[in-house]
Amino acid sequence: MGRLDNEIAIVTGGASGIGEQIVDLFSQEGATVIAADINEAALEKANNKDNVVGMKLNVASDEEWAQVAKEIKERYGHIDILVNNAGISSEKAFKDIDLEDWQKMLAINGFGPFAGIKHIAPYMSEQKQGSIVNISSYTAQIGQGFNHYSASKGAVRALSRAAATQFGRSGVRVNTLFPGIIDTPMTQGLSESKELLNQLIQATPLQRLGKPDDIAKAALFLASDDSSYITGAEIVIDGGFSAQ
Amino acid sequence: MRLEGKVGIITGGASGIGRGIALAMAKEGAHIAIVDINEEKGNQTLRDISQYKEGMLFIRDISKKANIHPIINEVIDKFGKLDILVNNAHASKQASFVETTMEMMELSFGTGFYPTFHFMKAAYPELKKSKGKVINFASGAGISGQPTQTSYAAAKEAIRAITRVAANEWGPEGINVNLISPIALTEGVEAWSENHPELYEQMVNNIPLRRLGQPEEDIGRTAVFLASDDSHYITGQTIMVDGGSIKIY
Repeated sequence: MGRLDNEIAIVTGGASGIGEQIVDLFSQEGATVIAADINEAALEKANNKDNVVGMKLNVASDEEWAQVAKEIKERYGHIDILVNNAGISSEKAFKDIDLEDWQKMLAINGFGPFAGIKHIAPYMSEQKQGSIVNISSYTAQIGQGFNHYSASKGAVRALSRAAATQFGRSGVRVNTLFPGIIDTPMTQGLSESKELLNQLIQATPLQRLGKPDDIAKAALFLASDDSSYITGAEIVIDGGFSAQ
Repeated sequence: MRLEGKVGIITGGASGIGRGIALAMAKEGAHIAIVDINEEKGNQTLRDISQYKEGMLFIRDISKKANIHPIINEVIDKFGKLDILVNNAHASKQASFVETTMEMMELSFGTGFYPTFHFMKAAYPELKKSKGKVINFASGAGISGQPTQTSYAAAKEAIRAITRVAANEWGPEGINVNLISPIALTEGVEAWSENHPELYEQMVNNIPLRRLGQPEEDIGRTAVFLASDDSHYITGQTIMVDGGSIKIY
C-alpha cells in the first residue's frame, strides 16, 4: 500500500533534477503523476514510466495552465496534489542583471507557481481537499544572492503563505520547501569549483550537500495525509545551514 | 514500516500529544518508552502501544534531574540502543505578565526546559552511536507571544534556542534535532472547550484549516516523519503543525 494511492499529482519541471525525483517517488507511492515540463525530449522519457504522464507546459503561460488544468480534471475527475517545482537559475553577477533578465526570471519562477495555484486551487477547493507544495530556496531566507533568483524565490515564499490563508478554509493546504544546495544538474556548475564546494560542506552542520531524494521525501510528507494539519508552513532542507 | 526496530523515549507520553506520538511510532514498528507521572494513563497507553510493539513505562518525576539518567540506562539495558528522543512533557500555569510569579517560572522551566536539556545531554552518547533524532516541542504561545503565557512562552522559546545550538553542534555526528509547534485537541483542550464553548469557537475560526489537530494523526505522524529517514537532511527547524495559524520568522 502506498502513501499516495489513487491520488492525481501534478509536478512541474518533473522531467529532471528534483522534479524527476518527486515524480518517481510519488508514482512509487501509488499516485498517478503528471510530469509537466517545457522540455519535450524529457517528456518522452517521462511517458515511458509507469503511472507517469508527460504533459507539455510552459509555466509562465496562463493559457497553457488553464488548458492543462482542464484536461487533467476532465481525464481523472480530481486533482489532489500540485508541486510547483519548475524553475530556472542564473549565475549572472548583479551588475549584469537587467530588466529583461528580471522579467524572464520572475515570469517562470514567480508567475509560474502563482498561475499553478490560480488554475488548480479552485478545483481543489471544490473537492474540499488538496495539497500544494511550492519549492522556494534557502536563498529567500538567508541574505545571500543579491539577484533576481533570490527575489523570485522570495516571491514564492510570500504567495505560498497568502495562498494558505486564502484556500485553507476550503481544505486546501499550501506549504513551502526551502532546499539548500542540492546536487542536481542546475547546481552542477558549483561542483566544478571544488574549493567552494568544500567550504559549503564545511559550513553545513550535517556536513554534506542535499540530494534530490531529501527534497522528494519532504514533498511526499507534505503531499500525503501525514501532514493534514500543516498549512502555511515552511520546511528548510539544508542540513542545518541556515539554522546557524 | 518506517520506524521498524527503532527505539524511542517520549516524555509526557501517557496522554495527549505524547500518547498520540507513542501510538503513531509504535504503529510504524518502534519500541517506545513512555515517561510520565500519571500511572493510570501510562498503563493504558502502554497496553495500547504493546498491541503493535513491545514498549516500556517509567512513572518518574523528570523535574528531578537524578531521575533522568537511569531511564536512559534502563532503555539501553532492555532494547540495546536509543534512536529517538521526544521531549514533550511540560507543565505551566497561565497568568498575566505582572501576576506571573517566580514559582510559575520554576514550574515551567522545571518541567519543560530543564528536562529537555538534561534528557538531551544524557541521551547524547547513545544518539551519537545510532545517528539518532531529537524532537523537541515549541509553541505558538512563545512564537507569537500569547497573552497570559509568560512562563510557558519563555520556556518554549528557550527550548527552541537550545534545539538550534544542538543541531549545529551535533550535525557533524549525524544527529538531527528539530521542533514541532503544534495545536492539538488533547483531553485537556477538550475539557476546556466544554466549559468555554464561545472561546473555543473563536479559536477554531482563527485557524485557516478550521479545526484542531489530532494528537496521533496530525502531530504523531509529523513526529514519525522527523524520526524517520525521510527527514535526514532537515535539522534545526521548527515545523508548524497548527492548521496554518502562525507563519514564523
